Amino acid sequence: MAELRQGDFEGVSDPVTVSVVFHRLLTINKEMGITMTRTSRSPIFAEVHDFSCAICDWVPRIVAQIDGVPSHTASSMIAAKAVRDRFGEDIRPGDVFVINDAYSGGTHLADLTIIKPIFYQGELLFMAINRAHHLDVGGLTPGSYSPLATEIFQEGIRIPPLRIYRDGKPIMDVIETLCLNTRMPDLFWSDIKAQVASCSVAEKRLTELTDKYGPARLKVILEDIQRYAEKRMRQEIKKIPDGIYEGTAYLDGDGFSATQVKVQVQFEIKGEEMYVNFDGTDPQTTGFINSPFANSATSVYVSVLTTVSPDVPHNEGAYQPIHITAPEGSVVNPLPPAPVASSTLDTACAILEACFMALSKAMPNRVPAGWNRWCGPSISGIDPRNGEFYVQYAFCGMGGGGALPFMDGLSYIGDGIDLGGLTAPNIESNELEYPHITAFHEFLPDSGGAGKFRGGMGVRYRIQFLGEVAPTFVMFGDGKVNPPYGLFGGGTGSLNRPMLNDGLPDERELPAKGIIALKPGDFYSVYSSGGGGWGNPLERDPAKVREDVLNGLVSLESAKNDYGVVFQDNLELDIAATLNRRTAPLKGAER
Amino acid sequence: MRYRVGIDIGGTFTDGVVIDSEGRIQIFKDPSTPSDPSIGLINTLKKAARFYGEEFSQFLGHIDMLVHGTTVATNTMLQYKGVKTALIATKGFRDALEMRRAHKEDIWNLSLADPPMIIPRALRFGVSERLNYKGEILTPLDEEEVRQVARSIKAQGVLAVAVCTLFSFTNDVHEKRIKQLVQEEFPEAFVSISSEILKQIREYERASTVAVNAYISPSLSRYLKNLQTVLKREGLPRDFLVTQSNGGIMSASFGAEHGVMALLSGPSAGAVGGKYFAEILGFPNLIVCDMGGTSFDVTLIKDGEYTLTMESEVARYRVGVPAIDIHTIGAGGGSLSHIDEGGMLRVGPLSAGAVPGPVCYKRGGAQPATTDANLVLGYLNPDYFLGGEFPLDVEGCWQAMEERIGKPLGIDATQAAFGIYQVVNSGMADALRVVSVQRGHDPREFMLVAAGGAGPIHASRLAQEVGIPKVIVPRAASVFCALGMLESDLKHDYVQTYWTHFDQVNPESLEATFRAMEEQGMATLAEEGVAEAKVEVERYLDMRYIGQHHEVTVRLPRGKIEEGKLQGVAAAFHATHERLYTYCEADKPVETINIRLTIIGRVPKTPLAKELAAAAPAAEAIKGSRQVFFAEYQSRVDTPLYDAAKLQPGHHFSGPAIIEAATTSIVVCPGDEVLVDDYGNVILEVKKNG
Repeated sequence: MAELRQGDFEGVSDPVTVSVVFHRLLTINKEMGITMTRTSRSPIFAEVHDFSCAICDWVPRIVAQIDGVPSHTASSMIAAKAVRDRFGEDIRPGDVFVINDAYSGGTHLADLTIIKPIFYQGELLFMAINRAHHLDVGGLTPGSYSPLATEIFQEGIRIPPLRIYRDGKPIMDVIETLCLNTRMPDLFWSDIKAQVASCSVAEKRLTELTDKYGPARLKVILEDIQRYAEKRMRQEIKKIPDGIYEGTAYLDGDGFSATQVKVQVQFEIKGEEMYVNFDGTDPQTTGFINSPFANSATSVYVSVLTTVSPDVPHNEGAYQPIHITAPEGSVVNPLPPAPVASSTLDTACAILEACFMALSKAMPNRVPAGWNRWCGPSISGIDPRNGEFYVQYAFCGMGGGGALPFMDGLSYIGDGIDLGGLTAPNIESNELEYPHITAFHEFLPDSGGAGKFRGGMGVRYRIQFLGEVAPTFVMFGDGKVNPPYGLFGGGTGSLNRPMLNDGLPDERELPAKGIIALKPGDFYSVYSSGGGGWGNPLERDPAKVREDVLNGLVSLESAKNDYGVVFQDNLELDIAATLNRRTAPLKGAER
Repeated sequence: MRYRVGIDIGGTFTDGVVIDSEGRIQIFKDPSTPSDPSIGLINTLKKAARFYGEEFSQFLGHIDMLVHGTTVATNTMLQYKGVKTALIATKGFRDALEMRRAHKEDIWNLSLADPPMIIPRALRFGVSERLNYKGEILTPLDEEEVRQVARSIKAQGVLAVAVCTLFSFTNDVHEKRIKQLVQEEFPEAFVSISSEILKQIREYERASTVAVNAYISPSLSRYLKNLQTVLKREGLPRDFLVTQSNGGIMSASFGAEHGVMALLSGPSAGAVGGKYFAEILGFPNLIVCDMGGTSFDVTLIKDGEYTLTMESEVARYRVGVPAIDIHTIGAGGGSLSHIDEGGMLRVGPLSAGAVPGPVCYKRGGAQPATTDANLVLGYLNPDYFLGGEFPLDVEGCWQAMEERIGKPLGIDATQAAFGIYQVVNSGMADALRVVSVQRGHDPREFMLVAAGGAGPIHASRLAQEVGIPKVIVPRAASVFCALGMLESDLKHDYVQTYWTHFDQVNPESLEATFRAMEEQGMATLAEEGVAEAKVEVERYLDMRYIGQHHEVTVRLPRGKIEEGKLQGVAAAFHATHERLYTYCEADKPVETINIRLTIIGRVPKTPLAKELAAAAPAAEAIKGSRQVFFAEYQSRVDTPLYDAAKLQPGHHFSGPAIIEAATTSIVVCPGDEVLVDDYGNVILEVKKNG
């Protein structure tokens, strides 16, 4: 093996082998995801990909994590450590563990983390992790998002680090206890098997990898991968000008009170280190928006990983120079038994926004304008077509992404913290699967924030429920008061607007959080947030504004009022009038 | 003499392969002519005519079968240069194509924009109509609305129309009527409806597939019709054939309306060639890799068959029609190396292309590419590149290697080059694993077929790395795709949703549905001129455990479907599930989702002629020696050079060695055993790793 040492690159002895092994781990990680998608029963995994996979080393530290939703980034590694702390030397070949409790190393209870230790010749070398959002884990309401919960006990079954397989076989009395606590036991158990299968695939491949390099050498390589990631992250932080950068975002409320909840973040950049604190953030709330520290840390990591160079590996090494603290008892580091179910969406988005706002002051060219926040229901009941119980989230109401200094935001891409990692189901699959009929599903004009680069579009989406019994309908979400922010002169995206029976005499606007009583035949519509705009809209290329107008994404009024672009009757640009209008504000005239 | 001719148009060369009625192969190459590819094609054919000493028209008259792999469809899509196209959808659902199911290929990359829209929103129209999931009509089609849309798009200069309405896969009545109405109002338009292209649930995937078809077919049609006219005028007595993504061929006239079936027209022929090799070698498990200047295409052949995927993406558009599962990564002779900010050596994905090309091409390239590394290591002969037509710049190449890669890493040029070689190999080895280990296949049960100009340089190491015991470098490695075309048959795939619990499958109704699809296939083959006797039919079911969302495709036994046969089908499903995903649940209920039918019209073929056994010993093929770097020695060793043209069946020798052909170079690593088979193919028995 050639010695490829770089003079100033202490630590990594053999960059070629390190690179080969690292990519092999990423490939294995992706294969875990494919196995889960292909075998799981719940649409939330198979169609939507609301899960993530990771590979940890023996410590355990995350080595490779490329598959899955960004919102699981740091929480998986904290879950693995919790298992290690609880079981220590009692971790044996053939074991599989599960954990979900927010205060024992998990986040919201619906996210079940499966952890499979992988041994080689009797030595613990790896842990394979699959973290997946189950449709129901019990609690006050089906779907396990309960706006009425005031304690985590009401949100579902709490599972500390728990052994569920021994000697490669499921421990059925334990499994049955878990299954008894969900409304969908069959689905739950089948999906756990899919999670375990994805870890078993990793076990096969990692064993082959160890056969090839031998455990001793592999351990050195794994250390090198951590060191390499840390070095890369330090270099990236060093490029950010030293200083203190602050950002603030507000949640609409906690579901009990209309008082807005403040998330305040401060980034201090000092050479190669980054110190992040949440001093000034509001105290924990009565309702379910409290964000366990693992979830808050994840949002910070996501904000950093998406704004520094994309080739920094996503593993624990990269997180070493990032030091995060959050006041105990605050909404970003709550004390038990505060409820937490909605934190992985609502609060995670708000934290990410606050971080982006702060980072935009340090790296103005790399940070996006605001993405939409999730706003929609879980819907559950008995399907009148087959008599079976179902739980569904209305994923097709996704909103738009924020613009960047060189591109428009992505339309219909989903909330900020998931960054497009969730895939929406097809209307046809949805109607086949669930008892409703869709009236429309298309882009919502004027929803994207105006800007030199426009925010991505939200949608208008309406479903009408079939059958003679109305389903249980629980709203969880945010962004009805606080729209996606614009940056550097860009406008905000539109607000989320969930409605019941709009256009009928009994129409009403729905709260973002709450249990809603429905009548049979009711219909639900959502007009979802577009993303925020970037830069002064008056600087947007008029040809692009015209394209947006022809495509029905921007109205003539908005073109005129927000972008200062005027059209002739035949929809050709009126260049003179546009110039006139665009320069008018400079002269102090009405825009 | 009669001929069968295969023509593959690549980025640099147009490759022609002619097999005469005695089974002898000849290879012809002429530069490609990207502005009008048919010129290069005609030139190559003329070269062949001269070789056989025939007038061009006479030669064309003697052609029994002319098969053409075209990149017109692919390039139209890759460059987003299709015609102005409109989409008609159910009112309220016209945006599915652009919504892309909220999918983002690279989640962590914020600056990844959506692909350019092939049908902008202004040309997407909703019309009043609606079916439910059972195919029952909830809202009848508003015919006047369709007519208005047709008139409006006609006035706007649209040339093609894609139609995709909700649940048309269960009931195509509205889509068919929309097609009629549009054609009445706008007869010149090319109209493509989703239920004819992909009769399958999931409207996004269906809309994307039919939109791509409408967008590219007119361009492909123009090209094919023009070529047909020219060839007919010059004397070709019959319709020529076009290779499809599914590994089959289709008549040019069918292809003109089904552009989406021709997206992998070029590379799919490589897979077919691989399948053919599996037959003649009597070895059913092969991994075919084709490494050119910019990409590395890998296909796996298991039990003599390649696999098809229904989830391919071209130019970031989803295409749901069956296509050979070809895994492509951006690694080739032109892939550029660099040192990243963390001091890690990286190769690709940027490529030097043909211009400026690698440093050694001396066309202005400054950053070392894979080819440069191969030259520094001694794997390439600087004076015999393209048979010596193209001398390589050794000195400049060494210098760049040392300056740009060696110095930053603190190593010399040789070690730097070897680093590049290893990194690029590791990426390609991963690609080989993606198609093998990741899909449950053990590489030790496969042979590696190395094709393309650069494939044979890396093949032995790749095989060693992945654990593949043997490598085959075909005699016609550099024109492998063109050869593959001549082994293709006419082939059409049909799919239809058939959603039911497996234990409730009614054998009669299933049989009847298959029969109906078969008749449709027969009709198409009849139009393409295939007599019924040569027709073969394959039947498949897409199955899954109830509640799963992804299917496993299971082939049905031949013959009529009867009650007794269904148990075996269920068993085959459980077994496939276990192989793919480490477990099965034989006690859990299963459902069927789609039925699939493939109809094949066998084309007569002449068997390849074997070459004469060696008269002289292998040593006579040695043309000299060179200092070549091998990892085993950690240094350069004096290595014999063999002239590929002089190798004959029965020749046998051991590595290290380099076998030089005009269009490629085979690197034989220390410990490898070389054997030349009856067809002149070079077979390497690869030394095991470690």
